[in-house]
Amino acid sequence: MGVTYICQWKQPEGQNIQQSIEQISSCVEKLGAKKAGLFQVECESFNAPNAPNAKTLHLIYDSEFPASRFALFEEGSFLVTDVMLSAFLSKLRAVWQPKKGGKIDCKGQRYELGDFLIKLGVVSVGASAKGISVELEYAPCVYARDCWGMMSEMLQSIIGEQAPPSLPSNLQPKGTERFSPELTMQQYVEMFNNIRKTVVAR
Amino acid sequence: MVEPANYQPLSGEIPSNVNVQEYFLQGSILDANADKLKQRLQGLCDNVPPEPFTDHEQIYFLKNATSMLPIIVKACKSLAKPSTPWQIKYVGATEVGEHNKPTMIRSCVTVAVSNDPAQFLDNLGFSLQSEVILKGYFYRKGRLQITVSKISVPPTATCDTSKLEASASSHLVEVNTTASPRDETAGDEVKNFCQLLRPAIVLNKVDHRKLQQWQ
Amino acid sequence: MSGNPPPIKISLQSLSDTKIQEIAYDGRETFIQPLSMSESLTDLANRIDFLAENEDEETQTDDATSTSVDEAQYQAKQWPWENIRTQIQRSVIEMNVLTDVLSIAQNKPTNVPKETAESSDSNRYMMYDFASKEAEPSKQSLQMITKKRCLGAASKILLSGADRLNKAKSESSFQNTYHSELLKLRQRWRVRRVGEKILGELSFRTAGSDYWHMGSFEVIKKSDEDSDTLDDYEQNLTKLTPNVPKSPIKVVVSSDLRGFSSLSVQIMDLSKDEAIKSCTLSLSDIENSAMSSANDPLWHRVLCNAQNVLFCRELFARLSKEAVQQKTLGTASPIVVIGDTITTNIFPKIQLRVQLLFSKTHPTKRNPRQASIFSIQNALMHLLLRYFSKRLHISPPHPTTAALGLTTQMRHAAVHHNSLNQLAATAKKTTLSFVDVLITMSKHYEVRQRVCDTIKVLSNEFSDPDVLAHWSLASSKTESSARLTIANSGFESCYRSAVQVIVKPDCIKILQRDARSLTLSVDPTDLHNYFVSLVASHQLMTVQVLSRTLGWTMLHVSPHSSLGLTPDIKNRGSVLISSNNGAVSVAIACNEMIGGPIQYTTHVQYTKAHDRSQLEGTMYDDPDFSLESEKYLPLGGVWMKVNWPQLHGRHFIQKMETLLTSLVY
Repeated sequence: MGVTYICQWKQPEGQNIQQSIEQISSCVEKLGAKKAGLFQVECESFNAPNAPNAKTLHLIYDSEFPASRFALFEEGSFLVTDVMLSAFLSKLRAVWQPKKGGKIDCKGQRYELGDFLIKLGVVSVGASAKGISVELEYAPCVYARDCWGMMSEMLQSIIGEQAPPSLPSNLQPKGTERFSPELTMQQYVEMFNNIRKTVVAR
Repeated sequence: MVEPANYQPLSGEIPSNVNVQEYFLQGSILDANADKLKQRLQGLCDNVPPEPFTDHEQIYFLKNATSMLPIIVKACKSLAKPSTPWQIKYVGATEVGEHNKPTMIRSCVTVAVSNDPAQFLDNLGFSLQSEVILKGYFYRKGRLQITVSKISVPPTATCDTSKLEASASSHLVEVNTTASPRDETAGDEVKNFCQLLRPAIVLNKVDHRKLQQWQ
Repeated sequence: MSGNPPPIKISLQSLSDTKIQEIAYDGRETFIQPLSMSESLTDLANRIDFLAENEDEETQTDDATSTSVDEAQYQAKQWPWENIRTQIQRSVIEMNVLTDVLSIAQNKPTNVPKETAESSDSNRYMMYDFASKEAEPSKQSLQMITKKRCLGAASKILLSGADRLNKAKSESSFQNTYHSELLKLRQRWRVRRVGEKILGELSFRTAGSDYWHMGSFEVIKKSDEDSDTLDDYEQNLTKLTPNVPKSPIKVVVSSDLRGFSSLSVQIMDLSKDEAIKSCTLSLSDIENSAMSSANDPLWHRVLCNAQNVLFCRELFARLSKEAVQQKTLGTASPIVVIGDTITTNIFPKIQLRVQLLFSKTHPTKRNPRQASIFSIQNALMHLLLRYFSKRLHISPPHPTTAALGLTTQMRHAAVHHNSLNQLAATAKKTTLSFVDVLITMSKHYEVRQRVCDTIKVLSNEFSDPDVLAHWSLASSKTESSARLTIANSGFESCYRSAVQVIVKPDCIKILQRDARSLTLSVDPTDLHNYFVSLVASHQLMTVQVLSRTLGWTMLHVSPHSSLGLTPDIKNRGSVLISSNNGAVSVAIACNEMIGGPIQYTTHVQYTKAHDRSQLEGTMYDDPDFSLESEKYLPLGGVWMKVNWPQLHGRHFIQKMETLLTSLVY
């Protein structure tokens, strides 16, 4: 478990998702990374329509942690649970129902380059692909601030100018604390929300 | 012998039998006679020493607009082994069933969570109804689980398990097993085991609705 | 009687007409004899009614009393006490009479002196006389018969009582034996009563086994008639130990558990077709004497044997099940399971065979020539026990609502977001594979044997440097190590080589002193080659050190030329050294003949400084060729071969020492 950074890669104009993915994959492979299987991140959202102040609940499954499920409230608490979480939530379906259009997933290829783990995935809502996500993980370090330099360099070589120059705000407060998967999931949820907004906007 | 758990967490798959039901019978025994019961259980159950446990159980409920009964969720934490994860358990309505059903049945889903789910449940809309501390011994026989425990009220300020006052002078005995609804033998297993415990303790179906009426 | 007139003594005597008892037919009359004095006295005494006289006296006394007022008063007072007084008076009179009679009969007057006591016979009025007895029967035989009969009756009573006691005791003791045997059975085995029958269970279920066999037996009370019928199996059991006490309990075990069973593991060399090493495993080997002793009754032996059979069968079943499913091997050929034999080739030509031996009548004989591999026995046993305990001792759920059946690591895996690698690592650690263990252990055993043998052969071959192998005690099931030390006797402080040989199931790793490590295959020729080169390099190194000590300088060292003059000579290294003053050079080459021993060929370039005289006539005499400096003189000498066998010294290094010291003078 190391420091992970997730961002959405805005594909250049005129290219569809498939071509963009191929382009970025070839870029990564040129760096010397080796393919190491597939990955999948699924997110399902729930809300309680009848309760007034209910926050949205996100249920995330990450193939990197196959035995766990993550439950994240927006601006709320975070829990790591085992696989029975979805069954548990289904029992609460009287109050908490899945949001319409709430299921987003991100599937793609995993690459290993030394201590780095690069995941390039296609974000899709239902059957239609909506965007590309890039995830970079540096396994040996657990403090974000210490390894940000290396990670930003790596990001620059993968995604070019879109790489953030300095430590992003969401990683900053936890710079001196140990990195936990909570931040990873938060980043995913943020990205999914952004994508959903762009979908709605279209 | 103990069979493997209903699901294999290492495979990362969601278990097929998501509808898991709990078949159980409850009863109580006076403190003075609890030792006899424990000896009998030790003889009947699997050849392992009884495991002492101290659990802190918090019961949350969520009012349901559609049905009269609130949704009940129990959050359990072991005080004997604090490093083990919290468990939240959804319990459905208890069906006492007709006379031909040997045990009480309720559906249940147990999820292990990483840290105190109080805030999580709060965000979900649950509110704390009550909490108890159960301290006793845990026996098992095959897939049956038997607990003999003493209920006490948790001290408010610090959870000091050494100074627990019991709320009653008797032990609560529960025999339960989890199985899918298609499994017909589970209830009979529980019932047959309870027959063996007579006359030390008589475990019968208890109509919880009658209990709740008294509240 | 004072008021009465003095009485006139009248003595009355009855007429002495004797009464006629009978008149005989001849007229003679038989008279009844008149009573003698004593008899008549007795008769009269019998007639006296003592009580009646007292009353007469009493009435007289009453009349005699005066008519004074006191009399009336006395009388009045006496009335309430009258009865008592009369009673007491009567008893006093009777007592007086008794004492008088006794004193008269004893004739003890108080004042009579002793001498005259005997002469007072005439004054005796009363005498003691014996009471009349029945006459005893005179005949002795009659006496004996009566005594016998009496004794017989008495003894009969006693005997019948004793008989009854005896019977009761013997009956209860038989019952006691049965019950006490049953109690002993229950102390050692699990039995319970089912209706009329007593059934027991000897399987390992309560220890954690999941074998399908129920392992139940029945306990029967033996009646006395069939206590001696033992079949072959039981006879063989009893033959094992002589003292088998008879017991009233008989145990019936299912027929497939009656017999002797053991599991044999053999490593066979197919090229020679004889088993290298084998081991037989059965529970009775592991069972120590505390559990069963020579005095155990038959039923215990039968049950123990049955349990042994069950154990062997379960172990074999587990092994064969895993063998059939085994995918990744590490063996030279796939595992073949036929019936009760599992075979596989762990190395080419080396076969591992596991066999379940079962015989109904005779215990399986162990071949005394073949030693047993204790480590494999132990490992298999422990694996099965670990398997049992893993099934039984699953960590209980804390809190109790958690899922049953997960281990602690599994519980934490989900909640502490273990990644795939971590999960795979935990899974690998916790799986128990019997076949894996068996194969790795047997491979390791085999490789270790090979290393041992090679070292032995080499140390026998090379008498020259001493090769010592020290096997380390710290070894595991799958790895062991040895330390090889090579030194020349007498020159240990000079130079010593040491290497560490680590034996693994698949390879042999060598660690050298210069921190180089080599990995050799399990082929014995590889190891042989390496050892030979090691010995050769040791010798050359020793020479180097020796020459340095003696002041010689090293000119050239070539560790391994591998070239020889002819193809069947391999060169294992060469050294070129020269003496202090540069006058002599010695070249040593170590060669190995293929298939033969190592030879050391030494050439000495015995170059002394040329005498100017010798050089005359040669090219060196040319004045152009200036031999100003002496340093050119040593060049160009003739190489001469050393006559090795005639050199003094026990071994190579000693000979070298002799050579070097003798060349410099």
